[in-house]
Amino acid sequence: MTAGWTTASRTTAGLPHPWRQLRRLWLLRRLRDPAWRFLLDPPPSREWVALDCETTGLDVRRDEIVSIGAVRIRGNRLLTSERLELLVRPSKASSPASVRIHHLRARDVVGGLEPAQAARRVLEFIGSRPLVGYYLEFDVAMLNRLVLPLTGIRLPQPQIEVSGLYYDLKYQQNPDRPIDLRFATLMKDLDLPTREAHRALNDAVMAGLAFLKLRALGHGPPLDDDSPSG
Amino acid sequence: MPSAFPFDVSPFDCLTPAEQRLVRDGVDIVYLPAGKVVLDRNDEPSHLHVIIKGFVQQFEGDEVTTVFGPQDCFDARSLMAGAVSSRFVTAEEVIAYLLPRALIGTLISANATFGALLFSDLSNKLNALAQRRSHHQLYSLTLARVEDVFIRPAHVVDGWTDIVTVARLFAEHRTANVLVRPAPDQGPDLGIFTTSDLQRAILDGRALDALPVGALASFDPVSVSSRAHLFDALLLMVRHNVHRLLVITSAEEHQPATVLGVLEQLDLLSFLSNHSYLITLQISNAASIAELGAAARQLPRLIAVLHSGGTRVEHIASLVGELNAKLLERTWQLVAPADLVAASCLIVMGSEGRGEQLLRTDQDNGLILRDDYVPPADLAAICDRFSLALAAFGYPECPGGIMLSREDWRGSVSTFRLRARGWLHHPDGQTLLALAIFMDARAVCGDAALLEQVRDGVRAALTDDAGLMARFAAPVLSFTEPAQWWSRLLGRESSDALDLKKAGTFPVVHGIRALALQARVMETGTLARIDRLVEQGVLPERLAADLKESLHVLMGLRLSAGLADLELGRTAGNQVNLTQLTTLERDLLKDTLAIVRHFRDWLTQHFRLDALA
Repeated sequence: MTAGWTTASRTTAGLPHPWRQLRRLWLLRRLRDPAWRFLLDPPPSREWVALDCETTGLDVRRDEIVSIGAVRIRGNRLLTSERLELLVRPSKASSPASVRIHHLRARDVVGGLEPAQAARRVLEFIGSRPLVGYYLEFDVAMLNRLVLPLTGIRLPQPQIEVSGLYYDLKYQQNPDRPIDLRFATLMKDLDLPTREAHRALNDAVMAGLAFLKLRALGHGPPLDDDSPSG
Repeated sequence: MPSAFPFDVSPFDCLTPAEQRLVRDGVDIVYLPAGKVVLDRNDEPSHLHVIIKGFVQQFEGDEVTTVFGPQDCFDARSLMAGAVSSRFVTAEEVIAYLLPRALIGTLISANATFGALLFSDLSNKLNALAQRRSHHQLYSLTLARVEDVFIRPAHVVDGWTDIVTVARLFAEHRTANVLVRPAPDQGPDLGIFTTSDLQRAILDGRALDALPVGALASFDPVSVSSRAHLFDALLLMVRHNVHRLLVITSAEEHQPATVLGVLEQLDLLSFLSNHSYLITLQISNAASIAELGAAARQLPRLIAVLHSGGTRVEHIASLVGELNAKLLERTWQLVAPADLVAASCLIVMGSEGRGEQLLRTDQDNGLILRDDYVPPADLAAICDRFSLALAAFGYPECPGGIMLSREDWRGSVSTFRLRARGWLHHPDGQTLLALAIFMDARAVCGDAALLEQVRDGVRAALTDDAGLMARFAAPVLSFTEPAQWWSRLLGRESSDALDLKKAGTFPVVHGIRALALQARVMETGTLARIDRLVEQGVLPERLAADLKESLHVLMGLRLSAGLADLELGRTAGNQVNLTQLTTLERDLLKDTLAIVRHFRDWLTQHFRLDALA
């Protein structure tokens, strides 16, 4: 296992214990409402949340979220039965280019949640579990625009970048070969089944699968003794 | 990905939309690396696994008994029992859907078909399958086209032909109508004149030998394209209140439609009720080998229609058996002089004799002559002609030479009795094979009593020699199913084909034949033999029921595979391509081969086959 599987800037995982403690205290003080304390609790063991957002565009400052898909991971299982699928009503319409990608037109998201309401639901769903995703940095940045005004802090959970785990794997196999980090390539190379991309939940499930496989290949959070799967 | 759940695959294809939603909401996905034990003996199963990707092997002890692949589910049985009875290990990386036990319980209590498909033993599974096929049947009838029906050839006469000549033509050609070429002033359309118009002709008062048919024919016959659906043809008949339609070629660009013949309502209705009637008619009316050939060529299509129509495979087999027997009978009558036909018995053997032949394969036949009959000098030539004719119909010559054109398989009653005694007293590979084949003999033409006389001779010569019985039964072990046919499913590089005859049909048929020989059961069909063996207390009832179902499954699969072969222009073989089976079929095949294995073990015990080696 290498440091590549978490992004150091937003996580405490790599820090020595006292620092982690200190950071937690600092974040606790900044919370707007003590009701959000659960975000900083110790996470349940061997649980993660795979996450994906579809947006009106790729500009982190101006574009908005139109749908969120998240699924809990426990051990070697993707708990699709405990999934989160939200449509979010953005304040402005998606760019035509984005509609072509995620197929959500303005009229499709009109029945969606208020952005702040959606953020609440997402935070309740994630709790303190580490996040898993592909190009997670973007999704987290988009969510933070809603989360920060609500809680007073950015998403504090550790983040596990699937493309980072994959990079480590490929680099280990052959450091000299260029590594293609595109999602479709990654899924194909890992020999994982794919579903229609750019549906938030499907993307989250696929990222979750890639995470489970990369973890089985020795990249990512260590495999402790997994309970029988059946 | 829950949206991608395989709702089009058995048993989930019978779920209602509401039940599908339950599945989508309750399903999890699991990732399992290769070599992982998924379920072990005495585990309490919490989920049903539906494989998305990869393969799982089921072990009893050290032996792999089953392999589950994509879209298969496991293990319904242990879910029902509440405890796992064998070990399930991933053969390669597996990704699977997990359906909680409680959810499965809900689905079963809400949807009986789902429960049946998921849990049932073999015969229940088949019933569920048959139920789903039932609506196929109607479908295939609506899809049949006019050209699929027997179209009667058209007899065309000129308009000035007199009625007496036409009536003579009716009698001569055993037809009920003629088409009438119009007089130049009557326009271009053909007319039609039928036997019921004869009445009008008589009442007309003019002399019949001077009355031109053109004067009484109707010149607006209703016509139908040969490509039209049968149901449309039936509708036309009802709408115009006619009993026959002119069948014309479908109008192609610039090509004037030509008349192909006449479609009689009777023929149409009998096609809908029983397609075989017409072939029977064709066979018995055939006046030459060439005409018989035309009828013979229709058999595979008849089988295909019946099969796609959902007719049970054992019904198809008995129907085809009858038709084949008729065909052979008629061929023999056309080839052999009448006195030879009367003083001999033409027999068919092997699967043909048992009535279990579907798509035709080798000729296995023989000829028994009355003891006091002196056959014509050219008997050999007659028999050769018979074999050649069958070969021309598509029955290849028997590679083992079991044909009446070989001297070994024709002779008088005494000769055959002598031979049979020889088979029993000097058992070796050749003679036991001959005995096995002869046991299935059935008379198709001539004096059936002759066959019975030979059979009595065999029965008299039979002893209770256990060693002989064991040697007779032993071949059931020789074609053991390839040690791990499922390994072909795993290592997809090798051939995906499984020989159903060797792996399944042969052990069942021959095992039953050996038991029948031992118990002196004289029936020829395997199913009839099984029934008699149960009556005599030789076979346990449960095993008998399983064996019958297995035989039907194997016949059905062979038929499907054979029809597919024919469609591709290949000879119908016994190979089934495992990757082309549906999950339900693969499931049935797995269960069937397990039953065959069990039967083989049972036979080993019964005949003490282990003591042979």
